[in-house]
Order: sequence, then C-alpha cells, then structure tokens
Amino acid sequence: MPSTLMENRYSDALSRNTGPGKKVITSYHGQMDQDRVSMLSYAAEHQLDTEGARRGTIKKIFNILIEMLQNVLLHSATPEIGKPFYFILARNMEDYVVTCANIVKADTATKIKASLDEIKKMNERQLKNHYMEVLSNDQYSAKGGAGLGLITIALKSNNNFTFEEVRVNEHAALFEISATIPDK
Amino acid sequence: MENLFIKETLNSPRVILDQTKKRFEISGKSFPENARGFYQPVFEWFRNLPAPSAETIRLSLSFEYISSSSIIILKQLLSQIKTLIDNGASIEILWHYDLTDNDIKDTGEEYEKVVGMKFQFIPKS
Repeated sequence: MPSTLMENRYSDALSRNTGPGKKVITSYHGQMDQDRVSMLSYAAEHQLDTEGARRGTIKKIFNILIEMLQNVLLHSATPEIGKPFYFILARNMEDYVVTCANIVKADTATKIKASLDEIKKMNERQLKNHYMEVLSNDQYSAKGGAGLGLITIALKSNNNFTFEEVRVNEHAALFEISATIPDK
Repeated sequence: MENLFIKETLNSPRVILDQTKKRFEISGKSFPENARGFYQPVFEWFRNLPAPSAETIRLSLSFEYISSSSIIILKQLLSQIKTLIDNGASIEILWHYDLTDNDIKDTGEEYEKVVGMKFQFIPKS
C-alpha cells in the first residue's frame, strides 16, 4: 500500500535527520494542495528566520521548497489516493537539508530519474547553460514544466542533492528528493 | 479598452493594467498553482491592445520571487510583448529588483537574452 510505504519512509527520513548535531526544524505528512504550498513555505521561511539562518540561505531554501512542493502538486500520481507527500526541513551541523517525497506514476518516476541523472553530471556552468536552453525552447508540457524546476533545485543547492525511487507496484513509485544547503 | 486589476495573494502578484491612469504594473510573489491560468487575463489584455499609437506603455515588473512555472509563462508573455513592439507598439519594460537580491536581477537579464529585448533595470534599496 502506498500509504504504509509513505509512512515508513517518512519515519525513516525523520530518523535520518535526528541525532547529534541534527535537528528537525519542521516537517509535514499529509495531502497536498496549493494552500499547503504557501503555508509550508512561509512557515519554513519564518522558522529559518527564527533559527538565525542567513538571508541568502533562507531565500535558497524557499526557492527549493516551492519547486519541490509544486512538483508534488502538479505531478502526483493517482486520483484514487490523492496527493500524499511528506516534507522535512532539518538542520545538520552547519547545513540545512530539505527532503520531499510523493507518489508518482511509474513512467513519471523514470523520466524524473533520467533528468536528475543528467543534471547530476553537470557543473555549474553546464547547469546554467541547460537552464537557458530549456527557457529558450518552447516545448513546455501542458503543466508548464520541462524540468526547469529540477534545474532550479540543482542550481540553488550547488548540485548537492540526492534522490531515490521506490516502486510501489508496476504503476506507481514513491519519489524522494533531498537537497542540502550550507548556511553561508 | 478595459482596465485589468488583480489583487495580490500569498502566491500571486498584484496586476494593474490601467489605461485611464497610465499605470502598468505586475508586482509581488509569483508561484500560483496554475501560472498559465493566472496570467491568461494579462495575455488577453495585451492581445486586445489597440493598434500601435504614439503613446508609450511603461510596464513595471517588480517581483520578490518567481517560481519556475511562472518564469516560463512570463517568458511567453514577454515574447508576446516583443512581437507587439516589433509590429510598432511602444512598450518599455522596467525591471525592478532588490539590491540585495541577485536572483531577480539575473532573471531579468536572462529574459533580455532569451526574448531579445532590452529592459530598464531599476534597483530598489
């Protein structure tokens, strides 16, 4: 069941972000809608400010978070289960870690993975060129994407992100992405 | 022609396209769920502009944050405006940015390259 898998993964991700030098700042597990994108991103911004994070760091995290949450909103899998997701903002020593996961169609997971594999190989200049190429061509999906959000996550995290696909069944997969942002 | 006013929300900018007061502005944060739907009335407004006149429209774009989906739609809007300019319309883009925010300034410069038009950059302190 996707919901059990999601709960287990959420629990694992929380454990990963707990321990010496680590702290979960805010986290959420539930159904996605546009109000939640705004609510969670503004709440994260406020909490980072309270934590004393640098202004530039907060802005990067806000950027990454919105791209992750909007991806959940626009690309979640099935009407039957809605748009379940989890999100965790944590501190790990001097870094902040943003983790987000949701259930996507199996073929969507394959496409996202292929895009991220490509992006991971790029240095900053190549990423920037790729960004400009995507922005220049007019081949956008009906949902407006074309991967600009993924490139943005890579650029804002200096390509310091990981991702994992866990198959739920032949039709669906849980996709988790986690970006690390140093507070400097 | 009709004036267009859209109120700012937590995730979408304020839009003022007012021929009466000669005030043309889009400002705030832009990450609506459906960026295409949100900006549709703005596309329509420019589509319905009367034939080129001597009067210049000075459009102020003043964003605090733009998500990637909005960046794509705004690029299409600017391309539409570029076509109007190429056909004789007099439209200037004033790109406002916070002095402490390189991202927004960079986005403006990227649009200049991709769309092929010049903006007037206005720093806010």
